[in-house]
Amino acid sequence: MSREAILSRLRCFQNREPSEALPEVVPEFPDFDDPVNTFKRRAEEAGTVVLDGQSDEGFAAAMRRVLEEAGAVHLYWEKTAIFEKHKIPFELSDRTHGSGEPRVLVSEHAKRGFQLPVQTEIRSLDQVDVPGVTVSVASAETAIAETGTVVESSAPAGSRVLSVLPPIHVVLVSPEDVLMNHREFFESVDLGRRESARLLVTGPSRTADIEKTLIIGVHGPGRLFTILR
Amino acid sequence: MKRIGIDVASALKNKRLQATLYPALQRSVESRDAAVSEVENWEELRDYGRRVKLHTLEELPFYLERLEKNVVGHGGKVLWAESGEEAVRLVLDIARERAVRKVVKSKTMLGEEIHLNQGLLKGGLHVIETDLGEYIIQLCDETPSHIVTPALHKSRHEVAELFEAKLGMEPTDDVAKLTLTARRVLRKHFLEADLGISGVNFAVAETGTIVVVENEGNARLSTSLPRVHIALMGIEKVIPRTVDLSVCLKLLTRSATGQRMTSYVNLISGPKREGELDGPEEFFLILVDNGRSRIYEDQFLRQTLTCIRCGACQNICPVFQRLGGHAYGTVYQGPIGSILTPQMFPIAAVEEHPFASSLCGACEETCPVKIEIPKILLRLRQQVQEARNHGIQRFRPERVGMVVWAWVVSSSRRYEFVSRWLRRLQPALVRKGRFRLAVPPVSAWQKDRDVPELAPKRFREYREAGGPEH
Repeated sequence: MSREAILSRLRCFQNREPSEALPEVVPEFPDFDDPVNTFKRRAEEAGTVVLDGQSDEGFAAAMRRVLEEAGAVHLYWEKTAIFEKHKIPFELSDRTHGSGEPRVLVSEHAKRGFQLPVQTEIRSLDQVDVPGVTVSVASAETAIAETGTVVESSAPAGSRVLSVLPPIHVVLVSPEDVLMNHREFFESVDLGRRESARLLVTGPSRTADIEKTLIIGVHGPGRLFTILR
Repeated sequence: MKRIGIDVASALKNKRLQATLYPALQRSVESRDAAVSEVENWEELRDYGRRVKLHTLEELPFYLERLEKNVVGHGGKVLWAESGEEAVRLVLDIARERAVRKVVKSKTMLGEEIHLNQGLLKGGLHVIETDLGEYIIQLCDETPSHIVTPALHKSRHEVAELFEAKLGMEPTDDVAKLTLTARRVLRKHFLEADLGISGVNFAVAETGTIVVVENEGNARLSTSLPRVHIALMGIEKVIPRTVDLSVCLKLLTRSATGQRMTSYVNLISGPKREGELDGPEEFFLILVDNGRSRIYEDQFLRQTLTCIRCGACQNICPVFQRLGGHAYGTVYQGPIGSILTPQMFPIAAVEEHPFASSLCGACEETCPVKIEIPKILLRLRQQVQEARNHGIQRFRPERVGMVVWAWVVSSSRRYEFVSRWLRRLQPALVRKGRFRLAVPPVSAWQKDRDVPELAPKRFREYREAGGPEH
């Protein structure tokens, strides 16, 4: 009813003559000589902590830093595909779990390899009580140098809330996934084809709602790490 | 019909407001300027944004149907509402059918426009605003005073007093502590809510995706944790293509908060998919008209609908900087409010609003989609005048005065003659540096206007004497 009423009213007011055409050429967006470096700098300017984890030692050090800062008990990997994508040498064989408490994901070997704090558990996400999570780890589908942004997708097998519920969020970024600018991103992305939600993340959660005073960490994480891997 | 006037006097008298308002707005203007100045082709982006929005408006039925088809293709449901009341009813129906009890809302100006909270509360639902600013406003039962920062008029002390009274918080002036308290309280509500309601900044027709821009993360939580998500959208928010987002987002975030990009941009295409770990089971998009198609009718005024609600025109407006939002008495305030409100609702109800501007043009200059606000204001002033006259040219003293004034200033001889006599008569007419004539209708005209006394000598006399003496 209302649908037809609104549409017919709009049609009745439409121009008879040919109208303002949709612009064909999208304006230029900035390019950078070293997009990865620009990404790093601009992410830092937005309040993100960027760590280099391209070597295995670097990655272990980066994870250690995150866990130490968190005093972390629970470290949630969003999905096991991250291990493969970022070639993280965890043993994945015992990641399946039965009912009740999710089983610890990390093998003794992996623990040694990363020298994780003893109390660290790494659990699968399928059955987690997300609200108690301290640190969440996700993988960026792409990143955008222009604004220091990382892009998280809910597909395949991804989570929406994991990027905002925990106080600390970690996003792994492959340097080859760093795009130049937003035009490049939006020209290449096929929104909604596979995922129900994509999230562009630029820095930690923030507000300036009281006297325009900047406060970090409102509803989302107060600390955002990206690890280049 | 309730008439809404502009309450200038109480805004100017409010010392707390005057102390809080200007510095806050000035900070917004400065950060917007800094963010814009690093973009070399800002003008080109503005032109593009304006053209995309104008094109979309001209083909609005086509793009709305396209959007609908694609949202449905993702498993979402699309509903249409002619009026605010109908939109509220649709939300209530959805909530009732699903036995919803608690609702979390992220910021939506459309929700304010249609008085959604009041409607839902009347319908027996427990509604909680989750944007910090909106939450503060809800706690003290007020209305937003700015499009982007709704609690702009509140000082930290007022917020602290409020949290002390309503949340039992220890007295503090620390903004960080206040914010963390809100986080703690609201987290519980997020986890308990059955329904999440959000607004929409843009909706991409070609992909059926809604875009929600935010900084806090509350929109992400509101649209992901509850089992039902309802997005409310004005019909003018649709844009054709994904690639248009690159420009629209850049224009919006830099203009609104001076950020290269806000902390979060949600791109939502329907409810949770198979294999995804979380997300709502159902997604509804409600397309709301509520007076918008009336604006659509006039091809010049139509550009009002290209507004992307960045609030930059409010921040920079010298009138808004002194009055704040509440003085306007309407949901949309400042320059954009003064052109939007009179067009959406009967103009006679808000006839003061098109006049609440000095026509300085700062709003149009800062507007990311180049809405010709001053020109539109003039057109609306004309409409107000026509409505007052009911088409008949009545005798109005102000009109006579203006005709006489025009006659005087259109000749230098007449002007000199009059100003010379005014100077001579001035000692009798001026009190405390202002002309005050207690003779109607001049006294009525002077009620809201200051006419300062004339300088002792004319500029020309100073110049001929070789400059001012001091």
